[in-house]
Amino acid sequence: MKKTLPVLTAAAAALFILAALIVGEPLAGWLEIVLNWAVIVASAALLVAIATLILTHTRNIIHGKRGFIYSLILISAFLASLIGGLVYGTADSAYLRWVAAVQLPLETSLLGLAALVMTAAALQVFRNRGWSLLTMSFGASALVFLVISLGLLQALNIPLLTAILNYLQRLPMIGIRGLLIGVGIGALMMGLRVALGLERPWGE
Amino acid sequence: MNGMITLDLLALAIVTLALLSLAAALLISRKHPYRNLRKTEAFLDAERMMHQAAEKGLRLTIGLGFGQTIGAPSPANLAGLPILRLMSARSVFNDQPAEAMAGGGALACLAQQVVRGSYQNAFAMELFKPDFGLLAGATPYACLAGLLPEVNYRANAGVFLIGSHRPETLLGASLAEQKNLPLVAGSDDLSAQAVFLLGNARLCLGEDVLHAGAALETDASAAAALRAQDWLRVLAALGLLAGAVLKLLGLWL
Repeated sequence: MKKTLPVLTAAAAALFILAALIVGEPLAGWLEIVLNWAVIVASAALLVAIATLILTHTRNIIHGKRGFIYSLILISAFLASLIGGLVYGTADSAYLRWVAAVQLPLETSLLGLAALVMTAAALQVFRNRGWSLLTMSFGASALVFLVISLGLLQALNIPLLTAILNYLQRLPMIGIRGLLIGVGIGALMMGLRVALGLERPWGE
Repeated sequence: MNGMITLDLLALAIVTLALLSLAAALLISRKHPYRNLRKTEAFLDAERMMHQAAEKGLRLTIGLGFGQTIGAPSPANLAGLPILRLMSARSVFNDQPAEAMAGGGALACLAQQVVRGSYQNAFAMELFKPDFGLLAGATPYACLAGLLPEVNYRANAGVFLIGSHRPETLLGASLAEQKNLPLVAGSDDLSAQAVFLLGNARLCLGEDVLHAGAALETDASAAAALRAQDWLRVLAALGLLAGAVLKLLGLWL
């Protein structure tokens, strides 16, 4: 019973949402209520996850585990954000500016680093994966679309070339569509397994 | 009948078809669920990695991807959980148990429940620690920042990045590569799939990432879903071809 009840609740909620999305208007009011419940449950889950994270890092500090200084920084930043939010409110512009002043530079630097690593990895793809049909077509298409994106060829305004470029630009859409159809069907099957209570990764 | 109602009916038809295919696949393969099943190479490598980690007494780390902070995890977020289940079940009595990092509250709770289930099944609850399944961060970049130190952990034997990963996760993949750690990667995000292709990772392309339970032979329903999915893919391909032919003939606008 202890394991069956959550599965039944999840299955009932999933089937209801599926029905409400298809039936539409008659169930729209109920759908909003159920989605609000989902937000509340997910928020509670986030609180539990944050509490576990904080407890783990507190234990790291108490036991003087290797790298505990990072745990100290994490907890200090968390407490500063929490207390700031509680005292000034999360809509306060000064508080939001302060959070953004910390968060934005960090995220931008990570994004910059990711861009550098991506460029380096793109140059090393042949060394990593060897010369195969896949890597050669990958490299060639990257190069072709880089040149097309520059817009220089379009500026020449040659009708035949423009027609070829238009055709080439539609090619990635075919691949994307193929992959997305596959991912969509896979996600649908996974969703159905969850809705029917067949997907139980936590065990029987 | 307006456009919206037509789309709704189409959606209903697709869901019904998927449901019927799943039921048929479950029925047909109920005795031998994994016989003649298409296997993803990356997941077979994953199994080898689990054995090697157990032999060496080292740890495996899995990044489950970024789920919504306030909201339910997407189907792709659940993709890594069957691997986590197997990983944690095999490492219950290891010196270095498996570690899961989740980007999102609901996903972190699910990950912890999975690990807890493994310890319960092994009657070893005294060995369970809540930090075997942790929240990596509540935003995509915070999640990435939380994942990187775990990939960099000195006792790692391998890294799994399976779930809703974004292209920036390449930083984690690149770090694993620099440390010569074997990496299995898969995401439902097309850009992330493309960047994973740049490295040495064992890749799960497209929808293969969603069927770890079938490849690892731990979930009969996943195997049935994989069969049903293949049937639907053939149907979709035939539908696309028929649509193209009808359009060429001018019978369908």
